Order: sequence, then structure tokens, then C-alpha cells
Amino acid sequence: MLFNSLDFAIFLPIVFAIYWLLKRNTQNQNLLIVAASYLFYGWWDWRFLSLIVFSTLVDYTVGQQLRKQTNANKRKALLWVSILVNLGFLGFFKYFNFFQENFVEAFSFLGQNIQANSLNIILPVGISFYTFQTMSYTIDVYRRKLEPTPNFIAFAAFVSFFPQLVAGPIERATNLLPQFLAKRSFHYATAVDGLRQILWGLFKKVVIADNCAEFANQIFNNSDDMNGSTLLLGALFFTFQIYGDFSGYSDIAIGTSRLFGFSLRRNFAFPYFARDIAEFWRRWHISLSTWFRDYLYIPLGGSRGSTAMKIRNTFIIFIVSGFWHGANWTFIAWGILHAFYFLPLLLTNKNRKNLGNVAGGRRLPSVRELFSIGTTFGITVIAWIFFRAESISHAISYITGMFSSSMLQIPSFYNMRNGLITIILTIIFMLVEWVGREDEYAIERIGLGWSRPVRFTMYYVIIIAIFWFGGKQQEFIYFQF
Amino acid sequence: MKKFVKNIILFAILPLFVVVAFDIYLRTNNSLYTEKYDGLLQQKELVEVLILGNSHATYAVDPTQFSDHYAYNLANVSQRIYFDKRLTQKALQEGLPNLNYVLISVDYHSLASSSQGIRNVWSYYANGIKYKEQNYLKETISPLIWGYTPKVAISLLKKDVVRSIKYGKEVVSFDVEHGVNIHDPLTKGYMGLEGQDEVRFTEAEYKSRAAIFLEKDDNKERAEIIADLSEFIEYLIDRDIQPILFSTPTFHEYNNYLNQDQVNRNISDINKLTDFYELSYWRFNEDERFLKDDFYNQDHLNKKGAEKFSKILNEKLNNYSVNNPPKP
Repeated sequence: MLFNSLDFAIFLPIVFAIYWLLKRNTQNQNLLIVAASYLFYGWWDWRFLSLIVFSTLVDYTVGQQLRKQTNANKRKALLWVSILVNLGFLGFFKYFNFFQENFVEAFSFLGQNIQANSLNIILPVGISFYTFQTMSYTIDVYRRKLEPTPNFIAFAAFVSFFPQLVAGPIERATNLLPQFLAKRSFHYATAVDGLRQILWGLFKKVVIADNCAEFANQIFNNSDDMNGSTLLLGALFFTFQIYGDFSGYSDIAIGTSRLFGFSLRRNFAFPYFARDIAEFWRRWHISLSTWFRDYLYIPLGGSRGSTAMKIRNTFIIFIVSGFWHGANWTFIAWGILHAFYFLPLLLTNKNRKNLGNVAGGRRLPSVRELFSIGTTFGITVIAWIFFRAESISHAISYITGMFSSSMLQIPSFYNMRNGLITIILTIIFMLVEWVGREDEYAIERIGLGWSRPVRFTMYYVIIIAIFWFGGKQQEFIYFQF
Repeated sequence: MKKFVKNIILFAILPLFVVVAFDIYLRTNNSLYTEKYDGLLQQKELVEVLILGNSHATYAVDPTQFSDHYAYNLANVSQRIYFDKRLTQKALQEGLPNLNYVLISVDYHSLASSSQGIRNVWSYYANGIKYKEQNYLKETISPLIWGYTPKVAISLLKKDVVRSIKYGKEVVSFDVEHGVNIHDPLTKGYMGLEGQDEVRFTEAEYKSRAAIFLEKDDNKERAEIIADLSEFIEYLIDRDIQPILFSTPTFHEYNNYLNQDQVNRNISDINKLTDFYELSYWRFNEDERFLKDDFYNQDHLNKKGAEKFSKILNEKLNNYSVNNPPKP
């Protein structure tokens, strides 16, 4: 079920109403969440519900066994059961064909021809998200950071919680699970704030991402015929498409959770205003980057140890992060490129230079800040080309075409009038984001002090913009990851 | 919670009112689809030749130029073979006793896709024809939100208001595409494009336009569309109506940008059909008699071109009907 669909518009109020009617019984509320989440997921393909159920059963059981088990080796074995089951699912559904094809190619390169048929595997929506979420539970229980819950319904609700089930934010058990065990009460201000965040998320997705997608797809799919300036525009369209799409989804997920009395982790913090790439990674897909930081980077030694170790760990985390996005060399290249961007900062100890908000307390950035933002944004755009391209060679030819003499020509693509409208909308959107950059989301505080009619007018304007400028409905990009 | 529900209701009143008002307007609004179909039914006893197809045929075939046969243009913007077939079947059920020839336009992209995009639902509103498995539940609930979409609905209303203030009842009461003269009446289903949209005659426009219709190599729909067209041909033959396939002229410079594999695949598929059913296929795409002046844009004839083309088509049909007279 898509957030930007009629199905969800009907589903949400019904679940919301029943949920708060059950407010006296937390267990029943959790049960409702599990049922609603399974319905939400099954709307896409009910067959893959079995994977979520199985993953839930395995991690719940492992958690219970870890509570009883004191033997270190046996505890480690239990942890590996969980990791192998979760990564096994992920590996099979997401990476089987990739590894098979690459093995065949590698052997054929060595003169050995191997016959292997690819399997027609459908990638279950959200598998990369919920497997990581359940693994975080088991790992935290194993590390004794978290007490395993005996409440199976609460645990099942934690794994399958529909607002963030298919595209995150990837929640930590330490944050979300206790919320399922506690009594929830309805707060007017929280619910209204949730609705405002949903509204803003829908704007990002429907107005910005879906419109940018139309032109990004057109330009990337016909990149051989496009001049340099059009290719640059295509890369920019994709840059804003992926941001609007994914951060929009996160906003809707977080806002929806607030309607049910839950507080989810922040997933985006205005990453395109980052002053260096380290700051970008503290602001982009925060739930995933911190997951990798806590469960991979730090156990590997993090930024401690020799320079060689630091370089190794940086490459590992960025390559794994790239590979997490999909079984294609383009994602790995995207990760490697970011590793190269990040390394100089790490090796010169400048990776934690920009921790606060840019131009904090000021309206405009300084020239230096503007330059830093521009540079960081520019190299991020280059990296996105690898992310969006069909293959490494496509990315390289795209970049070569972009930096050719035709970059000085006037852009040319189909439906340029709408393209121009999309550019104007994106500029307005980024200006609003700039104004609200010190808040959780851009419009968090905008209009709060206004009278009701004026505030309502602001909401109406956003709603009209969503319907008026809404692009062709596209599936959320991160569903495929 | 009470405060929350109360404020939600308060907030929803105004949008709800706007949506309901718009929906009433859209449900009672005329469209080219209703006008064309209703026009056909009004002339159903007379019609001998029916012209089908998308905008190429809509603007290229002027039935008033047909001398020996009473023709009617039922083609419409973006109308695919899927809708041509079902519209004709529906009209035949309501009676077209003298229909002898059906001219089906098949061009560059006719066999590539069966959907007419957002216009699928417009067709449904006007003629009740559903596209494949669509149930049109939400489109029936609110034409504003899920049918026409607010952007189109507001634009329709705006044009409607401006039209009635400026011209009153002197002009057509339905929306037409840019380039169509609203003072022209819809005659035998035809309204032509006037003059020329000069900006469409550039290399970039040719490229972009051709790219839109470029068929994907893995298109699985082509076989389905050909099967649907075959069924349609058989349906007509069974009723002693003679189908003829044709394609309209396109500007020669634009033709250079069409994907030749797709062009050849089309010709090959159409030839298979014409061989099998012993049909005629009149292909005018590269007809050199049509010059830039005859075109409104790269692939649509203007009124002048339409007159020229319709006369050629008329002559061809007259000759054809001598050898293939209407079946009794």
C-alpha cells in the first residue's frame, strides 16, 4: 500500500479510530497494529508476509534463548542463527542473481564457461529494512544492552510496524520496542504535528520527487542523445527526486507514527545543506548510517588504530552501505566514491568539524559556508549519477557527456515548460527547507503562531499544490531496496 | 481527542465543499468524447464509413471531403485500438445499419501501447468503456481528485468560464486542444487544427516526440494489441463491414527520428494482418505530396493538410469500393 494512494487514505483513519478506541488495552492496540501492518504489507503481496512472520519468530525465539543462556559460545551461536536467517533471506532474494551472474562472468574471463540459469526472484518490498531492524534487536540483546521482551505481540508489532515497515526509518529495538510495552495516550499537539509532517512529506514526494522523476527518467534513459547541460539538469533532477522521495517517505512514516503515539528516529536532517561529506552522512538516511556505524564500523575498530585500518574500515562501511541499496556494481561504485570523499576528512581529523546547523541563528550563510555547501552538493550530485545509472559504463559516459563542451548549450528535453515549473517548485521547496533547517522538518514551526484561518490557508495551499502540481504517481524509490 | 476530531472536521468543510461543487460540474460537463459519440448516434442511419484512431486521424480526416460515402470521424486524441474496437462495438449494438467501411488508423505507436493514459478515464466518463481490469471506483467517487485531476479540472473550468464570457453560445461547449478553432462546429465528428505550431519543427522536438513513442524492446503488450486488432477485424468482417488499415502523413524531417526497427516491426506486423485477412493498408507516412505547410506540427496535419489528405483518401476509397462494393 502506497502512502500516496487512496487505499492508504482510507486505511489510515480506520486504523487510527479503532486504535484509540482500544486505548485502555495496550495489548489490544498492539494486536491491532500487527493486524493492520500485515494487511498493509499484504496489500502489496501477501505471500511475502511469511518472511516477516518467520523473521519475527526466529528473532523472538533467539531473544528468549539469549535471556536464559549464559554460556558465551552458545550465546554467540544463537546470535549467528539470527544473523544467518536474516541475511540469508536478504542474500537470496536480493543478491542471488547478482552473485551468480558475476561468478559466471568471472569464470568465463578465466576461460571456464559455466552454464547457470538466473532465477526469477521477486524482491520482497522492504526486506532490507525489516531484516536490519530485527537484527538490531538480537544484537542488542546479545550485547546485553536490551532486555528481551517476553511479549510476543509487542515484539511482532515492533518488527512489522506499518509506518516504517517497508522503507524505514530503520528503528532500534532500544528506542521503539519499549514504546510498544508502555501505555500510549493521545496528545493533541503531537497528533497535529504528525499531520503537519505527513503533509510536508506528501508535498516532497508528490510535488518534488514525482515531478523530478519524470525528467530524470527521460534524461537518464536517453542520455546518449542529450547535451551536457541537459545531462547536468538530469543529474540535478535525480538528486532532488531521491531526496524528496525518501525523506518524504520518512516524514510520512514519522508523522503517521506520531498519530499513534510513537516517536520514531529522525532519518533526514537537511543533508543538501551539509558543509562536508561527513556532515552529509550525519544528515542523510541517518537510521541506516548509524546502524552501520554501531553494528559494523565500531566493531571493526572504527576510526581507531592505524591509518591502514581507518582506510580499510571506511571502505568497508561505504561499500557495504552501497551494496545494501542493491545488487549492482553502480551502488558499490557510489559507495566507493563516497569513501574517497570521506577519507581525506577522516585522515586529517576534520570529519567532525561541522556538527551544528549551518548558519545557526542567522538567516543567510556566510560566503565560506555557501562555498562549502556548494562543493559538497556538487560532489554528491556526481555520486548520484552512479546510483541512478544502469551500469558503470553508463555512469561514466553520462559524466563524460556532462562535462563536454555541450555543457554550455541550452538544455533541451521533452516538455521543457513543465521542467521549468519543476525547477521553480524545487527552488521554492529548498528555500522552505532552508528556513526550517534548524527544526525536525521544514514546516515544523511555520505558522504555529498564526491565527487558525491563516494557518488553515497555509495547509490548503500545500494541499492544492499537491493536487495541482502532483507528478505522475511513482513508487517510492526505496521500496526496491 | 474531541478537539482533534472537531478541528479535522472544521478543516475539511471547505475542501469538501469545493470537491463536491467541482464533481457536480465535471459530471455535467461536455467533452469531445461525449460529443463525438452522441453525434455518431444522431447520424447512425446515414454513416457508411467510420474513421478510427488517435489524434493523427482526428485532425487528418475531414469526412466532409468524402464525396461518395457518408463518413464520420470517431477518432479522438490518444485513442488507442483498444478503445477504437470497443467504441465501434458499442455503436454497432446501438445500430449503424449502413456502415460498410471502417478505416482504422495504425501508426508508429498504435501497436506499442493500449493505454491512453489519463484519458482512459475520460473515455470511461463519456462512453462507459473501461480500460482492461480497471474498476474506476475512485474515479466514480470523485472525478475531480481521481478522474480529471484538479489541475485539468481547474483548467477546464477556467476555459469554460472565459469561453462563455467572451463568446457566449457562439462557440463549442466542450474543451478542445490548442490549435483547434472553437468557432468551428463539430461536423461529422471533425474539427481541424488551424495554422502551424512553428516551435514543433525543430530537431529537439522531433527527437523528443519520437522518444515518447519509442517502444521498449521487452514490450509484452504488442502481441496482445495485435490479437485485439485481429479480433476487431474478424468482428467487422463477420458483420459484412470492410476494415481498411491506414496511416496518416507525418512531416518528412520528423520521420528521420523515428526508430527504424519499430517502423519496420509495425510494417511487418501490419502486413501479416493484411495478408491473413486480405485487407488493404494505405500507408501515407512518407507521402511526399505533403509539405510543411500542410502540417500543424511534426505529426499532425492542419486543416489545409487535412483537406488535401481527405480528398486523397476519398479517391482511394471510391476506387476501392468499386472493386469491393458494400456487401448486401
